Amino acid sequence: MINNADNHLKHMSLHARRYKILVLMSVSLVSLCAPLLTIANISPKGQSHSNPGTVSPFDSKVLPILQQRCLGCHGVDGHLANLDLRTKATALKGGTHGAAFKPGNSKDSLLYQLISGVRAPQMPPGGKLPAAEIAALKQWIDSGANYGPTQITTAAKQTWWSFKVPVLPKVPGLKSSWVKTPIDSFILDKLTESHLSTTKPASRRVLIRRAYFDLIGLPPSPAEVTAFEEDRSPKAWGKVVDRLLASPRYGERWARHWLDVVRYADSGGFEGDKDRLLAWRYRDYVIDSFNSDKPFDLFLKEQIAGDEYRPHDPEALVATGYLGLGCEDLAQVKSKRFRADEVDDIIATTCSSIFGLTVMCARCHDHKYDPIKQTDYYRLAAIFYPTIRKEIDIPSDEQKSVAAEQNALIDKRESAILEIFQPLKQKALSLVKTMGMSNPTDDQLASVLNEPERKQFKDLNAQIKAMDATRPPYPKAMVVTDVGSTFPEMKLHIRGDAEHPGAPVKPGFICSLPGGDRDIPESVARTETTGRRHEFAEWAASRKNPLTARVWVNRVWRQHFGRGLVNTPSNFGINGELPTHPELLDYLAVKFMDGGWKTKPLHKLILMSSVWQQSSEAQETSLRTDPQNKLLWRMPVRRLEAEAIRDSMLAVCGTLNLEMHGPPVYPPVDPSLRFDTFQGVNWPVGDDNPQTRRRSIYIKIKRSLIFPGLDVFDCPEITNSVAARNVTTTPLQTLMLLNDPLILKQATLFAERLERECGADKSAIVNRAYSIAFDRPPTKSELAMSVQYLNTHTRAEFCQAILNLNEFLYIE
Amino acid sequence: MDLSELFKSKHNGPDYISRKRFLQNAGGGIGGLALATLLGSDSLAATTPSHSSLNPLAPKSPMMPAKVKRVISIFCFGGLSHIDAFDYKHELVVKDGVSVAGRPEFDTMGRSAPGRLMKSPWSFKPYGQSGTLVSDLFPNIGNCIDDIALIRSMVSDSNNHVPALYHMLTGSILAGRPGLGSWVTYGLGTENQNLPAFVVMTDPRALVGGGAANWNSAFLPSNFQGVQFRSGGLPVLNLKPPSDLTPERQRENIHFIEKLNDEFLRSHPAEQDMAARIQTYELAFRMQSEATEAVDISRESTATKSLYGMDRPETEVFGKQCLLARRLVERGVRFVQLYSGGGVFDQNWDAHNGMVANHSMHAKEVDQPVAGLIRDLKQRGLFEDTLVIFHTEFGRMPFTEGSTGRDHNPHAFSCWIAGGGVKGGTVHGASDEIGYKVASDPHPVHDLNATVLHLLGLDHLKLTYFYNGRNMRLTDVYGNVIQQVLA
Repeated sequence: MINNADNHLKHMSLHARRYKILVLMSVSLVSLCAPLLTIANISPKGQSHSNPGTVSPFDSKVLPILQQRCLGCHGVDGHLANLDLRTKATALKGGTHGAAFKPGNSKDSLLYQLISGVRAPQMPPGGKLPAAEIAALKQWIDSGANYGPTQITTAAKQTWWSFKVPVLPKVPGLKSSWVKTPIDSFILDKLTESHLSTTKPASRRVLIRRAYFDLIGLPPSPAEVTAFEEDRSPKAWGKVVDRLLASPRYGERWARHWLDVVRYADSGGFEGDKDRLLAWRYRDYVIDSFNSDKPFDLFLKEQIAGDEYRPHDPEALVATGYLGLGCEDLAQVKSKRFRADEVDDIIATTCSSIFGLTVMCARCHDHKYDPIKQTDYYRLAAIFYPTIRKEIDIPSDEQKSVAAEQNALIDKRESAILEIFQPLKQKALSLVKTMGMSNPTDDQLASVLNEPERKQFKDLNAQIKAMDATRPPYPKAMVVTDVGSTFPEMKLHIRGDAEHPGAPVKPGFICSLPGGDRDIPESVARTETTGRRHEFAEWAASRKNPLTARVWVNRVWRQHFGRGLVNTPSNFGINGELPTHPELLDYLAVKFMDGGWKTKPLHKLILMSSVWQQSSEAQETSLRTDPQNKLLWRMPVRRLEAEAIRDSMLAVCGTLNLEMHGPPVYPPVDPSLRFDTFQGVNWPVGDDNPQTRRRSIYIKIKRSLIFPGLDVFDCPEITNSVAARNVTTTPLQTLMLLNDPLILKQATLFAERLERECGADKSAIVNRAYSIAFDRPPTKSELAMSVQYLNTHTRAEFCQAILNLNEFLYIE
Repeated sequence: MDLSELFKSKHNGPDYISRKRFLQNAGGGIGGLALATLLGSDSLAATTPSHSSLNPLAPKSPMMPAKVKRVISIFCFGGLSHIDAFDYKHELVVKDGVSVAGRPEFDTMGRSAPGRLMKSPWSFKPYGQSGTLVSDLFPNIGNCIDDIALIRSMVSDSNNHVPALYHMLTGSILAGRPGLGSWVTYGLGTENQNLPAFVVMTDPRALVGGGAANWNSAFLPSNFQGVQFRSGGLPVLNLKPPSDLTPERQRENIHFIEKLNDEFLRSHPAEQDMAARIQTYELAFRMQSEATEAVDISRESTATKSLYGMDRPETEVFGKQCLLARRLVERGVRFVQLYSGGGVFDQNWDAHNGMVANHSMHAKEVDQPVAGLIRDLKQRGLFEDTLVIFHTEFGRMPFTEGSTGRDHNPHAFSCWIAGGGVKGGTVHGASDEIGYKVASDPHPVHDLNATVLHLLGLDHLKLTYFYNGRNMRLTDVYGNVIQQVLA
């Protein structure tokens, strides 16, 4: 019996390491895919992404359903119940329960009976398909169950839309004054197709506020809004956008989005949640990269292999901090399995953030949906296995020469002292040696000398130490590099278990992607690194990679419109959502690459479009047709993210400290909370002062204690890559806005600001408050209610109410 | 006058723009369409009949008939030694002192070197009608044994604290999965909107390892996150209005905010999120008084307090937490989780340095309070529809670490459950003759979690959330309901 238990435990341990893995028979995999395809109802083109004219009805309507719902178990990666649905012949041959269907007769077809619930068990096992899909399969069987020209094999999966290199599509030639940019053509085309109409343009006030929040995460000042409202030149809008993109605030806003994707934190998580005191240099690197509009391909290359591209450039070295951002369990025994988990974390994050692929699914077996082999996973693993975290000095050339100068001076002054000190020390050392003491401390050395010598020894020693302390320190950084230029052969882990090595694999990429089947030769090795990450970066951040540009432009799009063109921003695989506007996505991706992978022009293109400039007003008919606004018949109203809420609050109250960069700050937290953290040492005690009123991106991100003011508004617990934050509405948020001392303090400071700016007149105060917070005058009733309220309530209470309003938390 | 009454009555004043009316009328209008969108996007709505509400925490019907409505989870952090508590091993008495050093079949997986077999320093006695042997560590819990179903064949995937904790409490050895309580409130909502749905109370001496990741909602919306009741001060962060603000005045402030928000909502009638946010002001206002009242134990009788051991210094703290747990579930909180132990070494049950001092102290702290909780739930008629879980991340080794300690043992350990739908007096599964590994009916932690969900009327296979390309479950791709412990 003991043996059985042992086997069982082993079995379970294997499973534990396959935490992200899809298992073939998992019965619930499919049930919630249902809502994903509903856009097909709106967009008849749906799946027929690349060239609608030449795609057969089978390819456009049936194949996606089979691929997504059936072939995972009955075809590509297995033949459960001995059934292979990949060809008509194999389907007719059937499996354990007979032929899959009778062509021309859905009613008597096993497949239809199982999916429609006429016969048990329900297929797919996780839940019934949407009615539209059942109908499509029924119709297909009734019309003869003919397959398309392409043979469905694993290789055929390469034709999945996102695995094909994007080509510049033709912009729909629409004659409409609404079309201001190519984006508008694509959007209007789909809207017209679905009999939806656009919404009128937003007011200038709404536009400029929206642009400020989107690009820099702060509200415009009343003067900035007025200036724009009064500037009637046709270039006025472009100027606003350019100004915002040039603002250093832009990098602080957009770096935060990337930090979500790469799961940035200032501590290591797990039991001790040890602080990473140098992680912030990577955060600053990201901010600066966005501000300088560093080409996105270069940005990726530096993060993956900065040490191999430019081994002596601090900037490139700091960028590699990316590879060391994962959690680290310092208490864990550093076993093979532990290392495998660490590498898995890097692969999972890298592939989901750059490619939008769930490569980690292939750790134990071939991916059940996407054309990613288990060997692909270990080809990638071989790239990241040699990496190691390191703390290094990163002096600039200037710092080096300044240091050399200063050190020379210090050396000179010290040498005079050392002339007297060294003989004393030698004497003490020999005395100590006779006493049988090894590695004596300075105190022990002093103690063996006679009284005057002892005093002299101590004095001189102190002087030397004091001088050494004035030597200029080099800045330090946490970077990642390889352990050496060679690394032991990588072997596949059988069923994902590092303790069960299988066949050797060569470092390489994902074979089913263009250029991905190449092995990385040993000849790429550098003097100190294997050169593998450099090869990977060249492949990943290249035009030939069909995913990289698409995934990034989609993330940018999502941030501007509240949903992505692909609404699963980190999953462009078969289980992800299909793009609502595939041609537009490709247009943006290709233009992005043509323009040198620059993100700022992409923002500008979007902000110049009519679709982005629409009002957020909801029209009843459109709401009925496309309730989720997938086709963008209006601008959605969006809740600001946690950081933007706090930053806007500080800005409006006139207290935002715009100092950039540097080690994280610790705004005060409730003492009980500090006490309740692990070992009670997490969050230094401090005051609410201008130093802590920095932009939220500079607040310490402690994995075990997310700053409550951010946590409550869905700032993620940052363990895994976050593709899209949740947006929740909870009474805890409200308690915070009502009772938090930090917010009460801000309200008081806001009130003081109003008083300074407009004295004690109640109407003036209300007008000014609305102007600062919302860039508009209050309505008549708002003014009346507010003035009446101020008769019995303080200005601070009024200001706090302003900070509580929906208008403060939502972008119109 | 009750504060919430005051709140309501003022709200029906003449200038109150009826949001409720707006929502009631929403069925046909533009708001109704947006509402439909909102519900349509709730992936749970597809599988579970749910009450129409803007509030994701509104009570939902279970998927199948439920045995219990609420859960109190009591977690012994650090690794409670099964062989010194609930799993008597005669063979260890026989072989006490026999060295196992260097024997490959005894493996701590890279941890300490195995020493010699060590019998339990505590004696065991049969308790209740079932006659189950329980050690002197837990005489009071022993007296409840006929209400308890004991599982002696638990297995964990990790022999290290935090991964094992995450495994037990979130279903994965890595951080980043929703906690058990998050899944339960995601599936069932909660009965009392004026209190958090999922309350966590940690050991006031130090936080449990892994911290909030044990009760974080992870990829589930943060409505389902465990709310950590503070051990000092207010139970909920920002629960108390500023000291100079009277409730009446705060109500006026809230009323003012609502009026302005209503004005804005009228020009944005399709924005259900904004409507929902306006509702949170009423909830927050009531939470201030209700949560404060819920943790105010001054009206509990002396007898009740001493039932929980609050009259003795060693049981005062945990006794109070157990009493609070009862008060919270009584008031409709869905899930309460208590932690015994935090920090490192002997601040928790991690008895590397000596069993006696460590386990004596921690068991003394929890034995009376936990037994008191069971008795109190019974006498108040709550026991039939409440589930109490007593769990830990792993057990301890039958052999010594150092001279008198025991190292972590994930191969076999004991947990128990009690309450509605549970077959009291049962002992299920067995470890081998020395308690090193499971000998029969092994149950990975997923089985326990599947069983908990089952008792709540939730099918662990169907309680899913689409994330990262697939439907995620508390039990991942594992889990079997442990039928043998069900009544």
